[in-house]
Amino acid sequence: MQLLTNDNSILDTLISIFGYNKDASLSYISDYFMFALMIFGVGYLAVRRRVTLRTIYVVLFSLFIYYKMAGLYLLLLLGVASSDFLIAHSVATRRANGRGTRGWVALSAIINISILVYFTASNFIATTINDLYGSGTLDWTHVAKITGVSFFVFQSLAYVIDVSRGTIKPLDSFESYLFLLSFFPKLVCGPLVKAKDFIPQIENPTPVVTREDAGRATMLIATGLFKFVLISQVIRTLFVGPAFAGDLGDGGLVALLAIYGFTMQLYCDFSGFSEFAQGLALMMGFRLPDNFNAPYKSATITEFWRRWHITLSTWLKDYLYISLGGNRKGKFRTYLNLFLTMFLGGLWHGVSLPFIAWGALHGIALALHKVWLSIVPGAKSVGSEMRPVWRVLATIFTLHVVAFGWLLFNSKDMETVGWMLHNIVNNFSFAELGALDELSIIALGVIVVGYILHYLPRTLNDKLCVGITRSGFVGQWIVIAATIFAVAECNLMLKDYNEAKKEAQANSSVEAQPAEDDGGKPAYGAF
Amino acid sequence: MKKRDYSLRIWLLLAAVAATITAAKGFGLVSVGSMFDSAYEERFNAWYSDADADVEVAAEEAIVEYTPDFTNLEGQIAETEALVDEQDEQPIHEWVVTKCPKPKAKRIDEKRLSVDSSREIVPIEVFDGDTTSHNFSRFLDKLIWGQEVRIAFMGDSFIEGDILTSDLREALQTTFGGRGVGFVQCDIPFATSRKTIKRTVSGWDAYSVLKPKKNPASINDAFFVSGYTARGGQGAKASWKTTTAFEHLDSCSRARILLTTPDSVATVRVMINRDTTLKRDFDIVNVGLPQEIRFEGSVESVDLEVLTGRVDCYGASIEGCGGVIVDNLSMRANSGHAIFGTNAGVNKQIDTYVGYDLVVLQYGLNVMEAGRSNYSAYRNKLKDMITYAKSCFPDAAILVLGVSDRWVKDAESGVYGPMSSVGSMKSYQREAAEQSAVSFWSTSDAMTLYGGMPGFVSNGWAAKDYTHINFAGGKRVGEELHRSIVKSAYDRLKSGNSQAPTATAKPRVQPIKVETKPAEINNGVTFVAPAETTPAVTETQDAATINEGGSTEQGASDIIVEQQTENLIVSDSVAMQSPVVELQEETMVERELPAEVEGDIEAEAVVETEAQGEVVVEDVPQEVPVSESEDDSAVAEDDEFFREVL
Repeated sequence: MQLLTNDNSILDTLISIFGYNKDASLSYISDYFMFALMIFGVGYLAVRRRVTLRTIYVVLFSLFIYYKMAGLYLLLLLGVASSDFLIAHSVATRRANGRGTRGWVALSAIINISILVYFTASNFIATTINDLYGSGTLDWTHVAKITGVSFFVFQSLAYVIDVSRGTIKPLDSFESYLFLLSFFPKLVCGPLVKAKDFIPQIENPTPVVTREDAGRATMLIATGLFKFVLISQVIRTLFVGPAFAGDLGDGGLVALLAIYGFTMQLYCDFSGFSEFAQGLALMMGFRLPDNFNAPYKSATITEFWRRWHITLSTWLKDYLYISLGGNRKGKFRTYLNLFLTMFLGGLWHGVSLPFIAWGALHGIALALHKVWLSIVPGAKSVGSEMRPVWRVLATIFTLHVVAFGWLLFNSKDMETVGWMLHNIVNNFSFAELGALDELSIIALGVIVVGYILHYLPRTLNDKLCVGITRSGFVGQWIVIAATIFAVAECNLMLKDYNEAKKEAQANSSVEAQPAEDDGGKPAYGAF
Repeated sequence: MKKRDYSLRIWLLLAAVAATITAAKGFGLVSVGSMFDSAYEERFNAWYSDADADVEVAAEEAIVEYTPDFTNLEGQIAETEALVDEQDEQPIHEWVVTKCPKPKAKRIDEKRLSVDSSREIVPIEVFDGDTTSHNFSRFLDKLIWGQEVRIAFMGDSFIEGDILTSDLREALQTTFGGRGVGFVQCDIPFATSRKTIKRTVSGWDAYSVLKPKKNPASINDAFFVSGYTARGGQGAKASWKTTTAFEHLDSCSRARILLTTPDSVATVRVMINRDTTLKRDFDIVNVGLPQEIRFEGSVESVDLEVLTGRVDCYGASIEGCGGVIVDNLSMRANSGHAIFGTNAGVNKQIDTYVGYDLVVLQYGLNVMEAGRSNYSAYRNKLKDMITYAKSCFPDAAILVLGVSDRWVKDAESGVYGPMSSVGSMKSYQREAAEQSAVSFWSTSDAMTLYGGMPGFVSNGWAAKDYTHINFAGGKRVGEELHRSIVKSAYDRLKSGNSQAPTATAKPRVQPIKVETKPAEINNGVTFVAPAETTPAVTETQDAATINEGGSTEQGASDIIVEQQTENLIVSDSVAMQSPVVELQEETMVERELPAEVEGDIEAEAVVETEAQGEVVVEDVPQEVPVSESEDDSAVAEDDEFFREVL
């Protein structure tokens, strides 16, 4: 690359536009993406009614976007797509002939899960082995987390299983299958789409964006960006990150607020991204499933998993829980299956003790709730069936169980978990509020705003959607432009913050902990 | 009913938004980011200054307080000198690609010494007169006459991370020439960052002279004034790379690595500029002395790796040939006494390699106590430090820096006020300098030019503990010191007394041993394997053959042999182009060279390539008797020996 670019500024520019730069991989929140999208839109409008052309066009753009984000791991995406495309056809043929399909499904599962394990667990395995047998025994630690691997691997595996179950017919064209896997709005962090729901949209010859769709797309993009940057990034940078890293001291109140803060941060981060993706897809006339439904309004843990990362929990239910036997093999197996499902779900987020503990916590909580439902008369599985007082109490209780889970989720090791809990139990004092600096206060304000917005009734959300739809072109223009302004402004501030921090560290004679900031990428399984 | 399609409209919306954003950015509307700057500053000041203080307190609790032992000092120096005499050659491994040019005495242009005298200048008070050998005037003369000048800037956490010294270095190098960061330790027992060097180390155990209880005896016996030694076994690596954070730090032309071994022999690999053709292995034979690997040629980075045995590494220096070199030798929580815990023989020996011309002693901040005004005990200790430094660095002038300004918080009102001890500490330090006949410069007076500590804090030049200045503050103090030095040089020049400095009585640089084996040949092989001599010769012959066949590359066949009285110095001037030409030359040297001779080295002569036929592949163990005995017993014997002699 270096050789090519000597004294050649045009080529340089081209490479910087179309090439992959691992130090500056593409983010959805960037000017680059906005302009790429605009150029894409011109072509899309021209080809949108011609299925094959549209499919190829969108696939090429998606692959380009993925290349800008993950470089040559694009080949991994293509490899997974090819192998499962072929496997699905073999499965369908065998099925049509009335023969077993287990072998092929197992092959697909082994390929996909090996990839997943390699990219999520390799660091953990390498670290463990090197701890046991001395450093350098296994040189795996260079394996990077790859953007979106778990998402396309899961969808691909689900497709093969669906074909083997007869739920869907295998796709005839490879480009359609690539579209299913790589559709750029949902490529990096979901929502996971079901082949059954999505394939008809891929093949739809007359996609329509209705007036309501246009309004909803506007709202989803605006709220998605708002949640992701203005709430999540602000909380994370100014308060939660430093608090978990120990920079804000040993106070119990700080630790507690950091856990509440992370609870809101993670939700806004993840659901913001999902909404943004839905909005983008809707601009093209594609409908992606809802991924979140105000999860902290849940009154029970079961309800929580129906409202949190809905597409993943559905996936886990359909392809893991049911494959394990679901609730068809007796009570004990049901509980065990629930536990295993959540345990593996925890592992999916990354292989480390806190993630494992988080998965186990949810598995145990779900199983206990099932037990509770079966032995306590009148127990309800969701809040809407409860009486208001019970519902409030149950919601508060559930929120705290979940928040405790997030403490595990956001801790890099179990020591951090212990340290945070120790502080909350032993060092708690309201006097800490007075000692918080301006930035912490700002972040706490944002956290409060986040919770207030979260607990507003859903009807307000619908009203907002209607309002934006009715506001017409100019109104929508103002909404999105204002949001993007605020986002850009906020990004600048956070950049200044990080630079000021770096400078202060350099000026200090004490070297701080190496920053573990991953540059604004979502914290959940977005590898 | 068919619904209307809004596709076109929503993409137009996107285009409109993109246009709006672009236009707004074009007009610079997105620029209110600075509104939180003060909040950021508040947070990071709180975070990082507190951490600094905590670490320092922690360090102070565990350290040892040294007292001077002058008998020991003389013993150490005598021991080193005896060991040096015992050797046929000094343990310097010289590796020359482009030789440093011979220094020429050229007087500096007077204009370059002009300073802005409209502002007050804190004078350097010189108490040592013109008579002693290590006087300040000689230091100034070397500056004036364009000689290479090396400054050991010793201090505490005040200058840690190259605070003050980085700016002083930059300013001095701008005025008097010179390049490079100077000496940088290998591994140290705590994390620091320096903008002026990029250092990465792995596989070392780092030891501090201030915490001797943790250290192996052989480490404690041989500390350099840097105060830190790193011991590494096979696979230990260190890398020093120049940065461009300040002017003159890159494009250096000389590198040194200072090291020794606790084993009878160790092998290290050195690579310059990450260039595989500039990779050499060196056998470090234990002769009880610190050793130097000296590289001359274009250098941006130095990589060191231990191949066999263990190595005690003091550090490395990346520098220019000529001009000013400033070594930052800071030790946090050190009030200066750490020098008594170092080995005077080691210091003196390293001085013969690198040649210090000025030793700056910046201490006292850790000694002051609020409300105390009598520091006579510290004055006496400071005088001992000066005596010690004089013994270790006989050719260097000494400059005592008065303590920096400091304010303390009143316990009741919580308001900061001047610390009365600053004035008394300063006068005791000045007294020590005067009674020891060295020089003095008052840091607190220099800070007063900017409103003292409150001025520094309000400008953001000092931490809010009103004690530690930061880099911005160090820049001001460094510039003031630079101004004072330049002013002194100017006055010296104007006085008409300035003369080109004569060579010192004893030659500092005795590059006697040339050892540039290519790493490819001695690839990790243990020392003294007879087998390795054969390929070495073969390579040499190959090179000779190539050269006889006609010089294809300019300079490829130039083997420069330098005549130094009857000693031959063989320089590998071709390594850059042709790494296969390697020489191992056994040479003899007479140690006590007359001064005139030293000043007149380097009558260069190009000899025929046939000279290589005379190359003797050395059998090192025979030259170094000590190497076969264990180092501990060797030291014990030597102790015995010195007691008898003394």
